[in-house]
Amino acid sequence: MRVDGHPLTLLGMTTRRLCRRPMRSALTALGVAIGVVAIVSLSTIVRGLWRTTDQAIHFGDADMFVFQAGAAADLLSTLEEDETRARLLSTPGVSRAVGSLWHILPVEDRPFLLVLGLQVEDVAAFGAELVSGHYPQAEDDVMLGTMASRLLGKRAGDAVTMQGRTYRVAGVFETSVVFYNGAIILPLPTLQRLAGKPGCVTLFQTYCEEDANVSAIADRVESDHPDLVAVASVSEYTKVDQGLEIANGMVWTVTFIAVVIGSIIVANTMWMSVLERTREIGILRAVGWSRRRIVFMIVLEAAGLGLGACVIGSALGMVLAWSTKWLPVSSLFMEPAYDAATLLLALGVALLLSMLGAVMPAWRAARILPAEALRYE
Amino acid sequence: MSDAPTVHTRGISACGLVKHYEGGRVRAVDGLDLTIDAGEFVAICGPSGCGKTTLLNLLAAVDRPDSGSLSVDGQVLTEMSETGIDTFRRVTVGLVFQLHNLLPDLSALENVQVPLLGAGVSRNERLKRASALLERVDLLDRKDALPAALSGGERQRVAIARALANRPSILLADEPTGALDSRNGQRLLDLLDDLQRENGTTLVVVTHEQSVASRAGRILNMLDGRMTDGAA
Repeated sequence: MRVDGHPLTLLGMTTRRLCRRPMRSALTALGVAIGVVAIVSLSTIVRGLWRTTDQAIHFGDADMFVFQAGAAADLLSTLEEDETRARLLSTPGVSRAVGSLWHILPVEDRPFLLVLGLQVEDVAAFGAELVSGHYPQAEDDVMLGTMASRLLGKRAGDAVTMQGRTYRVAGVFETSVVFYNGAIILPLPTLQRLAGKPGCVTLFQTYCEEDANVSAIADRVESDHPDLVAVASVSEYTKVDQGLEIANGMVWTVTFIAVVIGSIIVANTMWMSVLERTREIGILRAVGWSRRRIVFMIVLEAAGLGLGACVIGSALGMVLAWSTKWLPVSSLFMEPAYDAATLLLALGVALLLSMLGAVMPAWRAARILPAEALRYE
Repeated sequence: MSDAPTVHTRGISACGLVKHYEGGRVRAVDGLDLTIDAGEFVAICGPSGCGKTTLLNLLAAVDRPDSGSLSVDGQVLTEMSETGIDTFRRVTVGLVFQLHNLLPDLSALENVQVPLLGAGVSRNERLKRASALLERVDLLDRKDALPAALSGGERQRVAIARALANRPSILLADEPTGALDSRNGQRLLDLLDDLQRENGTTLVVVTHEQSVASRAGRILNMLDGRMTDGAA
């Protein structure tokens, strides 16, 4: 006797069932995918923010940022420039400290741009690559990041107006940090005057000696100088600003909401599916399928929907996050970060909410009495 | 009628079996006693509504009696756990329904594999056994056809192959020819006859057709939920 054909598998049965009503399966997957889109896009954006912040901390091979302790937000940190630099340089292991004043100002027709004040002699060491022009030489010289240059439509040699005063664009620079590219660099005394903070800076980019223990030095800075906080990694940024944590919290909130809504959508579909297939489930029970196997079958179908939702949602979410690059505000501050962790989160959430949605229908399917199910029309 | 369960090593034994519906208003099986020996071919006859299908469902353990005792192939169904009942349905009995009850999305070959998948039989063995059964019921060339593409007789033959998939010792058939014309009906009965002889399977057929009942070694008549001719 010839034996050919394919052995029947639970996975094969599941696929066939989902394909039996393609529109319903697709719409359910799409409903769940909306939650996944929200998770993936938001998570990608927030991870982008974290990555950008980390890049900023370590830009130009710096080891840490030092801020004023107790400031309400990073931009509100105010440190006396000379005195703080001296204290930092007296800390064992610290080799260099570059102070910068960070400020937000309206520039030309832009409602706000990040403006960095640096001592002229520190600009070259800051690490920005000169694309055109030269470094600031006079107090009314400014440098534009490439993105700021594009937004303002200004090039080296042009003039820009800030708070009623005209400055000359000495050069255009590029860095690996997105929000530096959207910033303007001014000589520090000029910005201190504009911001009304003479002699002050926001933070110090702090460099440690080669092979030094950065973490130990950061601890030492904080213990020797309680008015200072050292941020050596992005995870420590909460010491000066809660923005990243709030963004993280938003991701988890959206995830929670997506799980609840997605579970209800899956539960609705699976409940309908179980009701429609009461007789079929009765037949399976009559030929000896155990309750556990029936439950597994229902959960597998729901997981199939979740998997479909994960694929659709992840793809749409990444496209949505990528499209933020074209939004003028967000493009100034971050670049979406696509990583495996976000996709794993999406997969986990899609599968979790699908299975949660399958609990009730599976419970009902398992409780169907074969004789009653066989009488079901 | 005795209250004590009579446990046979094989075959079927029921004592005082009761199954009521609608809060006792409908007494489908009403204190029924029954003994069927292993390897017997028995026809259970009676008019519509006399409780034949309910009795068959009880014997197949797809329904549970309200009271009485029931022993099938040495297993006391009335004392078994839900898991035990699942195993019983999987291993001991094969059930052929009046309206085939094949799964519409699955081909003939896949339908025969359904009980084997439920029993955890290996992939190769599933395929081998299902193919052999389809060949036995003369439908191997229709293995890829969906139920909708099969004739009524072919569907019932696939249903018989499915019922035999886990090599049960007892085959129960509920009006197996009920939806067939007489030629296909006779062909199906020939097949059931042959299979019963080949495997020594206990065969219980519920029918209201005399032509079907006459094939059996013994005919039991049922009326109002009881046997009328001293079946025990």
